[in-house]
Formats: sequence, C-alpha cells, structure tokens
Amino acid sequence: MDCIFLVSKPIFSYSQKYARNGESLIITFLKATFLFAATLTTAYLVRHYIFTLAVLRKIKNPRNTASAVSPKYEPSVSILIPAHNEENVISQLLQRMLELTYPRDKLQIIVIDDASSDGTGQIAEEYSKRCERIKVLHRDKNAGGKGKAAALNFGLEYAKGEIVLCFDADYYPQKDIVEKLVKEFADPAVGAVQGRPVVLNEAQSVVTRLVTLERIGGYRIDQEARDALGLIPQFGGTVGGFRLSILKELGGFDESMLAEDTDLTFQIYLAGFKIRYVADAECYEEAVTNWKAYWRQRHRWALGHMQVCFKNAFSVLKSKKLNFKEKIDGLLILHVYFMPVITMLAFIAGALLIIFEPSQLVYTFWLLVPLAFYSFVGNFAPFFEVGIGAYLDGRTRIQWLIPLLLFVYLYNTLICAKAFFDLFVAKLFRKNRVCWAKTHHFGNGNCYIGH
Amino acid sequence: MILNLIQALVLFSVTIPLFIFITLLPAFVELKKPKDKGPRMILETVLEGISCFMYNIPIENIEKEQKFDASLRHSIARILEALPNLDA
Repeated sequence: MDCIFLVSKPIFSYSQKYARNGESLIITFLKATFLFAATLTTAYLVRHYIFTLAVLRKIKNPRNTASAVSPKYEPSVSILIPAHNEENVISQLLQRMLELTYPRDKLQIIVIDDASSDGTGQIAEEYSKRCERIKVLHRDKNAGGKGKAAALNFGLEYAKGEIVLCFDADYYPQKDIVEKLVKEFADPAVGAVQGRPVVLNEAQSVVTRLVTLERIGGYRIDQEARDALGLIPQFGGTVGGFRLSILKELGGFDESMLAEDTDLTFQIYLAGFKIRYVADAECYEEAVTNWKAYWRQRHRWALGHMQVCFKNAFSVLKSKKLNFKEKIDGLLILHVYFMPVITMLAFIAGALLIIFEPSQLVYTFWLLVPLAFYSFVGNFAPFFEVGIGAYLDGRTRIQWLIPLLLFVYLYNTLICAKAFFDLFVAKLFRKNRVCWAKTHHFGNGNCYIGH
Repeated sequence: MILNLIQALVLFSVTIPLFIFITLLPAFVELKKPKDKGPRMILETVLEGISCFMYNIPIENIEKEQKFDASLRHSIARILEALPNLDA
C-alpha cells in the first residue's frame, strides 16, 4: 500500500498541477476571446458614434459637390435592369424610364430578362416596341438564372454608355436621378456612385417598418458619414453606377460572389478610384414583407459579404492605393457580418468567466457587451444612428419602433451564424458557388405610385 | 444564501420583464395605432407626387402628350414672333 501511495502521489500531484494548468489555459483562452471580441465591438460602437456626429456636422457645413464645378457634364449613360420573374413590378420601372429627364439621345436602357418563367420578358418587349431606347435581352434557362452578377455581365456586353447605372426591377426612381448620379463622374477620380433607396411599402407589416429603420440608419447616416469622412461608401448594386471602362478593366462582376456589389466596391478602391454617395439621388424600393423572406435575403447578403471578406481583406490591408483610414474602414466593413457571431461568443465567454473566475474587469465588460450588441450592429445600423437618421428625415414617430431592433439584431445573429456555417461547409467541400436565393417582389407599393 | 438566491430570482423575474415592457411600450403603441406618416416623399414636386398617387398615365398618352407639347411650343413661338416688341 505504501508503494502504491508513493507511486500514485506524484501522479496525482502531477495530474492536479496539469488540471490546474489546463484550467488556467481555458481561463486564459476565455479571457482572450472575451477581450478580443469586446475590443472589436467597442471599435464598432465608437465608429458609429463618429459617423453620427460626422453627419450632424455635415449638415452645418455642407461640402461643394462636383455639380458646382461641372454643372453641364452629361456623358452617355446605359441603364441596366436585371430581372428574373419580376412581372409584378417591372412595368412601373420601365414606365419611369420613359419619364427620365436626362437627354434621350444620351440614354440607353437595357433590360436583361434572366430566364424568367413569368411575363417579365413579354412586358419588357411591349415597352421595347413602343420606345426604341429600351433594349431587351433574353437569357434562356441554360444560360440564365445564375444570379445577378452573371445577368449584369451579360448586359454589359451590349452597354454603349460611358457610365452604366443599375436598377433592380422593383425600384421607382426620381425623374432626374440620372443627372444627380452622373454629375459625380465629372471628377475623374470617381469610379462609382451610390444613391439612396427608400422603402415604399413600409406600412405593410412590422418587417417592412423595421427594414425602413435599418435603411434610414444605413443610408441617412452610415453611407453619408463615410462619404463625408473620405472613407468607403459602398456600391449597393442598385440606385448606383460605375464607369464602364473601369469595370471592363476589372473583368466585369465576379460571378462567384453573392455580394457582387460589395466586391465591386473594393475592386474599385483597390484600382485607385473612389465611390461617392449621392444622398439626394433617391429611389423607392420594395422591402421584404415577412421574416422568412427577410432571412433569405439577409442570409444571401451575409454569405456574400463573408465571401468578399475572404477574397479582399488581405488585399485591402496591403494595398498602396488606400490610405490608413480607408484601410481601417474597409476592414471594418468586410468583417461586419462576422460581428454578431463574435459578440455572441464574447457574451458566452464572459458568462463562463464570471462563473469560473469573476473579476471586476469581466463584470464591467460583460455589462458593456450587451450594450454594444444593441449599439453597433454594423451595416444594420445601431439605434442612435437610426434615431438621428429618422430625426433628420423629419420622422419622429417611427423612432418609437427602435427598441424592436434588438430582436432584429438577435435574428440577424442567427442568420450570420448560419451563413458562416454554410460558407465553411462550402469551402470545406470546395464548392465554387453557393445558391442564389432570389427575393420575390409582389408590387406591394404600387398603390402609392398609381400602378 | 438560499434566501438571497430566492430574493435575487424574484427580483430578476419581476424587474427584467418590467424593464422590457417599459422599453417596448412605445413600439407597441406605434404598432397598434400607427401615426407615422410614411413612406418618405422623394418625388420631384408635390404636384407630381399627388398625380402619381391619383392616376397612371398609359404609354400611348405619354408620347401623344409629348408631341402635343412640342407642337404647342412651336405655335406659341410663332404667335410671339408676330406680336409687336413692347420693350421697344
């Protein structure tokens, strides 16, 4: 027995020490995870406070726009309208295209009927017959239906304008939106422009109203601040445009990306050009009306955004054509869809730390992280951005819905986690392409515009 | 310790739902009786906004109206040329 005790004692002591070291390693890992995530969430929190203050400052000191320098800049323009099963909404957009005030001899409108199985193609052809400026391109099921990027690349082959603008089929722009967007290209450093989408069917459901809030925060504050601060406004793929020459040099849209617009944003900056956000170039859009459609749309955005992050993050970091603040903002934009998952991990790590090794620092940060959850939310815009944005738009009553954005954020956390998992699986099994989940449009806002 | 735990549980079970209710009360009121005047008006003029809400202009009428506008401008120009120059 003494021999057994003599042998087992060092083993037991060693295992206790090893257990203590193992536990210490786990605690260290949890602390590192918690502090890393808490630092990132705080960075996003500070960023959005800065954005809000920048917009408030811009209102007091508006900048001189390119139009003040070259008011008569009127290049040739091609408008691309990719459409897949959009018979409920495309008619109103094509009607609007005929009402645009831009010089007609400099305007070309191209509708890409991307393997539609409904009446989209027929409706577009009717407008094309009555107006020679409208050209319709049909893609059959074999060639088409592979996503928006592929449809746009197909349309680009027929574009003749110096500037190319894109509108999704459910959009309804201002009559003079082309002039407003195009004037920024008078500056040769500008490679692309982005206007402001405004939700038309916001009164339809809780989802549409909350999406409206997100859009207000994202465009009225976020995009405008990035433009004012000389950071990276994003090209959103619609209500915007780019120089055809630049896109041809870049080889067109990357068809493997679900977020081809975000990818183009970074390709343009990496090529040494800039993007301008034009706040007064506004266009109505149709928001998703239920949570299932919201999931599908945001899952595509999150997955696409993560793809773009993996593709461009290192290039942004080492690029010599981006200045320091553009690199920081670019990296924050690229990683924004990972943040909901990271903050949840921080919350879990913080909870475990409080159980195993509570300390003042952990208590403090664990209280701040939930606040950061609710505040930073990346591209979905934090509550103070939304609040200020609504106030600047003269919409005080809609601010009462802001607390509901907390639940939207938690829902988006699930979406981002699922998107990350899907991307991980796709990369693991080396799938080159993930499925494009189209957002269906029903023309729910048509009653507001007399259609 | 058990009493403290029970007290803490009771406190949290009352205060947290109350806090959530108070925070979300304005949202519930707005959803029940919406008074927000959306959507945001972005169209060029108030008149155009009203007209877009009122009726839809068919494509044939747009082209006819444009032709009529052009001919009307020519007519008005001819009339103005025939009038005496009042400035002189």
